[in-house]
Amino acid sequence: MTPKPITTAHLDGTAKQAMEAGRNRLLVAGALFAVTFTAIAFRLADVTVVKPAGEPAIAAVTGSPAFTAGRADIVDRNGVVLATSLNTASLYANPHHVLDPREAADRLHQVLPELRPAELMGKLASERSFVWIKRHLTPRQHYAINRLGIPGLYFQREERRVYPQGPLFSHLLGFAGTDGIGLTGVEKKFNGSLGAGSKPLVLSVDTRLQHILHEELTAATARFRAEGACGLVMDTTTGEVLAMVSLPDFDPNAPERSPDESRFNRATLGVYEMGSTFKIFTTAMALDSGTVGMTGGFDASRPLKVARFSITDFHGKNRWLSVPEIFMYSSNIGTAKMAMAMGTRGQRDYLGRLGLLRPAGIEVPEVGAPLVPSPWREINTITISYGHGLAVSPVQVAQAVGSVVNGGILRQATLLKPLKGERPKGKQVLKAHTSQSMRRLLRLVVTGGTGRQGDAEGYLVGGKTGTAEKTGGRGYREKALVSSFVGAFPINAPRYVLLAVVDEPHGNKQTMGYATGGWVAAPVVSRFISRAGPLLGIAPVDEESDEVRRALEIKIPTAARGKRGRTLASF
Amino acid sequence: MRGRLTLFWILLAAAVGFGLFHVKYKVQALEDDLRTLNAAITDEQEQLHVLAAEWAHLNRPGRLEALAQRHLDLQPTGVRQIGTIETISFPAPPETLARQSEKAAR
Repeated sequence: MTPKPITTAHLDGTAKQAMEAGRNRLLVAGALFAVTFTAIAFRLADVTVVKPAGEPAIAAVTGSPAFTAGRADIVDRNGVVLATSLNTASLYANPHHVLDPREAADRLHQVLPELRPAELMGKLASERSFVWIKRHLTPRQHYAINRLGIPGLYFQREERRVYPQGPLFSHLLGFAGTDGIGLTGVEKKFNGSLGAGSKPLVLSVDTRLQHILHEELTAATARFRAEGACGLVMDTTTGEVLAMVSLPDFDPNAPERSPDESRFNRATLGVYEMGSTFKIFTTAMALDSGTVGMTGGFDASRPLKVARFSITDFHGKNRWLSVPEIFMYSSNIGTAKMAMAMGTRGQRDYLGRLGLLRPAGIEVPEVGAPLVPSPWREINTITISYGHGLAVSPVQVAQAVGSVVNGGILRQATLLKPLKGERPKGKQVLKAHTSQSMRRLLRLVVTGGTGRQGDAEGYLVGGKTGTAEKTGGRGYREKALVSSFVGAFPINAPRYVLLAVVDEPHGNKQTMGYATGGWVAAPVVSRFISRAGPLLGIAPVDEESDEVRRALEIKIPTAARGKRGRTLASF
Repeated sequence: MRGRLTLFWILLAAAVGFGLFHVKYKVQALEDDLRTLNAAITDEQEQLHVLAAEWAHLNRPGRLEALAQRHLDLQPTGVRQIGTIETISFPAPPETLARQSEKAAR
């Protein structure tokens, strides 16, 4: 008997164990479920009551309107629109839907008088199912045609690049083709960003100054029956180009209507032998390197003979000339001797530093590379000293002259307006003291030398004339000139550099047959400055005041070295 | 008790359903309005854009100059027309004038 209870107890033990295990499992499962459900409950409360996710309390504005007209605008420094894209309506017809071609043609002719009724008739009665009637309607024409209510006429929206200023900025802006791709000028250079962005591209140019320069150059071209002309205005403190004109020009709204020659940008792509304008650089480098001082000079009494060449002076004085006199009378002999004293290497180094041996970095694709002599012999050194034998683009000249007058800092000419507070860093290429002396010399040319017609009362112009014979076929052609004037103002603290180049001018009665830089290009600069001075915010100064005299006075040793010269107040 | 509770829930469900659809239609109507307004705004912007281009075209300096020459007696500012403020002889300030006239009246 005894074993049984044991067995039972044993059995009881197993059953109890099973029960225990079952209860435990139930408890664990129950606890898990309880935890899970509690978690779900909390989460539910959390997402629905505490912080509703998904649905924001205030709906975000969806699809806020932003009008884009395709290609971005181009504006000038003051925000004047220079190029913009307009959505225009183009009229086409489906002749199958036109009920009465004759009546439709007659009524259309009233709105679009430039289309001949017979031609319209033919189009509207044709067997095709699509004919263009007129591309790019004006909004007024669009409205009028809509009002006619002729069945079978439809409109197609198209984008069109419009240049509201017409031919004023032709070479600078360039133009975009019908497919909206920039083909020349700024339109080509910035094609990517213009096509992608909606923010306007801000250029450094000023429409008002561009207009004045354009008008004065056009007048000079007509007066001297010139082949073309170009000019540019640059801010020497930043390198910004404020105006840049090349003539003849074209209307970028319809470039196909102008001859191909008119597309040529003389200001950036054309390279010219600048003539005496280059004496600025020769004199500056001679002073800067210490080759000669302001009181030094050279004998210019006899023509200079080098190899088979003979160098003579246009305004010959036939005596010893001091540096200021050489510059003032634009003496080739004196300048050539100055360059010979410099040496070929020194000259090439300085010209390189002034950016005259490499293409300008201006933001148009049409940039001309300078024509540099190779090999660079002594005769090249001599001719380059007075601007023959090295052809450079007008932009390069303006840039380099900017560095000569602004304290010796070369700043690359740019067409983009720098961001506020940003000032492009330049490179010191000349000593500040050299720049000081050069200002006096440039003023002297205008007060007493070859550039008298470049003066503008009150604005203290300093400058240098240049007249070069154009190379043609073999050697130089005497009658084909490139006349130029480069000016800086106000010369006591130069801010603006202005270059005018007239290509192949012909002298007339008023100029007594002369077509030199002093007669042709200097008046352009003078008139531009008198008209633009007030716009640029430059207060005219009293040229007789002590302050001005002190800043620009110059001592000209006349006879021989060491002898006391007369002091010439240059104002 | 039970029936009432059921009725309450049914009514509540109906009310919530009605409210939901009401809000939905209202939102749809508002979205339509918004779309119309946005389209109108874009239209206006496009017109502004066209007008800005026309404005630039009509304000070409060359055109303004020609118009000014035809209709106005204005000329570019000459150097002699620009002076400094010190060179102008101003009349006495108005308060002194008033005081003087007061004195005179007395």
